[in-house]
Amino acid sequence: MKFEKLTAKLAYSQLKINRRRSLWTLFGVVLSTAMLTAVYGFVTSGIAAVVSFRDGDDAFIETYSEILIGVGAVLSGIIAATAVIVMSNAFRISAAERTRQFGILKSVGATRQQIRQTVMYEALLLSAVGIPVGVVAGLLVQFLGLQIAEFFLAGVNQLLGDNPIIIPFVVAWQAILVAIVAAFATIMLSAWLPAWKGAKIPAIAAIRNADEVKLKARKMCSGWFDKTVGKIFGFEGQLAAKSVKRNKRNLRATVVSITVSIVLFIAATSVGGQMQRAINLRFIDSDINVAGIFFSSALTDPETGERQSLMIDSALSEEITSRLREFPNTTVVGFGREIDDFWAIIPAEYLTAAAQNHFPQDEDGDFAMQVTLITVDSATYAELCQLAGVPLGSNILVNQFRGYDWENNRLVEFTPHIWNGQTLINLREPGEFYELPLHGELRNLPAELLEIAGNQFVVIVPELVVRDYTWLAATEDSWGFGGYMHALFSETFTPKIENWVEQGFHADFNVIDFATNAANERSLVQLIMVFVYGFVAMLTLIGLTNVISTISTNVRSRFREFAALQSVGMTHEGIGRMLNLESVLCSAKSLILGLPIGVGVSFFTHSTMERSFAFEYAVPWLAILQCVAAVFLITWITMRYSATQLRGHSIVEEVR
Amino acid sequence: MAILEVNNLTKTYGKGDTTVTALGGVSFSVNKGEFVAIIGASGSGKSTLMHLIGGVDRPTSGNVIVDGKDIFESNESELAIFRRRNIGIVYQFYNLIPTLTTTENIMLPYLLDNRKPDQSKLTSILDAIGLANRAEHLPNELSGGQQQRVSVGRALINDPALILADEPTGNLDSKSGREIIDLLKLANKQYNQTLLIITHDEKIALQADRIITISDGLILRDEEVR
Repeated sequence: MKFEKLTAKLAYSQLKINRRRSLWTLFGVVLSTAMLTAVYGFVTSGIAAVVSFRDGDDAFIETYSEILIGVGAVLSGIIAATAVIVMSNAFRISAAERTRQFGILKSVGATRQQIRQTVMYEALLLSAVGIPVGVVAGLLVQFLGLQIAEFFLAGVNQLLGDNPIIIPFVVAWQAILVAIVAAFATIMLSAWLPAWKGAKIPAIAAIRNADEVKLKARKMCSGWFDKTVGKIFGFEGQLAAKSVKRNKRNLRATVVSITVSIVLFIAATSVGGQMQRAINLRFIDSDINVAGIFFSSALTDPETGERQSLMIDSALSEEITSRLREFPNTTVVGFGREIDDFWAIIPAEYLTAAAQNHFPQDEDGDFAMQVTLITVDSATYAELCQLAGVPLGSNILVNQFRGYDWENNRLVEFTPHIWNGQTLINLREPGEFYELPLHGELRNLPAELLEIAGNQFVVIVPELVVRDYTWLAATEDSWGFGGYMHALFSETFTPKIENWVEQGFHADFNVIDFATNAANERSLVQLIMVFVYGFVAMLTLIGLTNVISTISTNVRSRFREFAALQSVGMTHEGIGRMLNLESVLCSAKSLILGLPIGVGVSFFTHSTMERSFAFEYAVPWLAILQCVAAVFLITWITMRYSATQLRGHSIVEEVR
Repeated sequence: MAILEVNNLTKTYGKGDTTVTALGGVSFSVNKGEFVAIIGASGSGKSTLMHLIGGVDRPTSGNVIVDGKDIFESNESELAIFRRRNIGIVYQFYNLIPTLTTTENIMLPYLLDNRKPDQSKLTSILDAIGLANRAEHLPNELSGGQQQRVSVGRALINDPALILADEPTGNLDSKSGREIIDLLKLANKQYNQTLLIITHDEKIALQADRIITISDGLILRDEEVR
């Protein structure tokens, strides 16, 4: 290549001389551009998917487009920040190498601006090649990513039927333009500071060949750190510690980029695990995998002033339950609840300390509690009576509470009532009082009925007419059973509901297939995880380009030092050991920084998720272990790689 | 006519107790076409003087007037442009740009000025330094003496008001050293170039019109040789 402009030519020859480092920097440029292009491409495709999914629903489209753009902005911010850290380091090293050259140029009359130009041209040349390649690579990533997404969405789409989620491969010139501008700005920003600093070095200092590495005596005296490392690893260890300290600036970008990758990896793995567990908790607490719900809202009749609902009496619910049980290999539990307007005033002495703590107290020291009456299917009722040790026809107090403590942000479970055998409670309807005898108590509900323990005061009664009935089934064929249940509900309820709705009331039924839902949610989470890991991997790769280019530059610029060490009798193995220790120290540093932050982030996401799903926080040990192994492996390989560059250098050549 | 005037030039480094005076008030003037050798022990301040005259460094006080212009009145960019047009510098360690060819290194002051190279001037310089057949070589393909001749060529290309040479033979064998001095003397005689050489070498100093001896940052002697 021929350049008319001197500054461009100098930049080009600098790139050519350090071909290997230039290639790594170029690789970094390509990767950053590719990631930016891919992120913006995914956002574009995502918006297109949202539009086709809910065509015409402008509010929905706007909300989700904003979310997608927001996520895209955050991700591209992370990419740009990492890229700036990594690439500015490459440019800084490149500029530092030429300190002397800048001095010569200055002494023969180059201005600051011309010196800056030579560095900026370097960035310009790298951009000219790297950005177009990066854009193409980014589109490829977008395309492949969407294929993967389609694969994971197959199950969800089967369920959605007529209106599946389709994420089209869209290439928007606006998105590409934004990616190019962002990548270019990132690269220019990376080069700007080193260019500016390089130009500021006075000519005289540059001519005197003042190295960039200015050793401050204060800093270089043996600290406790060197001594400790020295004690453990011998003299080579001490030297390694010193040189890591001395090359702090060169290694900083490496440490930061590895740290960012560690944080993202741990946080992502941990959050993914938490999401999976949340899904399991929601769906797989027991063997229940299909639920059918009938629900009718209570409305006041405008003519008579009476409150009306479409009710299910025990005869109807029993009939449905027995027909559901006809499905092979399936167990069914049915329960209905009445939650309307029943209140009881409970004196404090009838409640345990835990309950007194949890429920709000009246001014006069009593507890006003909403009473939920529950009816269960006859077979289950018989079982419950047996469990409670009472005869059929008894009212059974559910003496078990399971709910969320909003003050302390945790799930609580306790025995609320002090059972004295025959507590009578007052059921207060507006203006009326009933007395309900309680014949027995249950402290441990069967797993499939645990859901009802979430109410304040629960009593299971033999018979009840309710407007809200739920059937929970554990079946081997959730798909088939779901269909069977749906057909049965349609046959039983649809005529009633139609009639009811005509009168201006509301009622509906719903069949939920937990297993399929859970599988779909799980595959969505997996899809997200695939993308998150892809993102982390690419980010790590950007960091790696820096690690390799820094370390190889480092080793090359230290040939003299190595030669000097060899000339005073250090063996080749000793130097190898020193390099290995340097890599270990470097890795250790990023791990010490990255691991706590990553665990902290995962702890934070857990505490936000805990509001909805109760599970203990688990330290992501596996992810931490993987990180430690990966980081050490990576630095070890790169150090090995650079050590191979050591061979073939004689002492005499370097020590003169 | 004085092409260079140095007035009471001082340069100190550091502050307070650790102040080091490199140059303690030096004054002299050089006429156009003069060949001046500056000698002194190492650490005497002669390199500092040279850097100040070349406008590479700034003095603590005093001024340097080249061709009637006080160079330190300009800002950094103006000074850089002044250097590329008026001063030719030859260093002990050649200081060539390793990625540029012989021709490009010689043309450097022109290229920095974004001016079209003067081809005939270049040819005559390449002939004068005897590197016409090495025009497209890179510095590391040349011997030390050849590299130093390139740097002399670079100093000559712009017909500078002043050529400054800092120990130009210090890193060369005696034969190559002699060639460099001959080259500089030729420029001095043939083109009436003003030449300032800093040197240790008595034999080189004796070839000058005038020898200035520096010691501890002051002029010890300033004598016409012939």
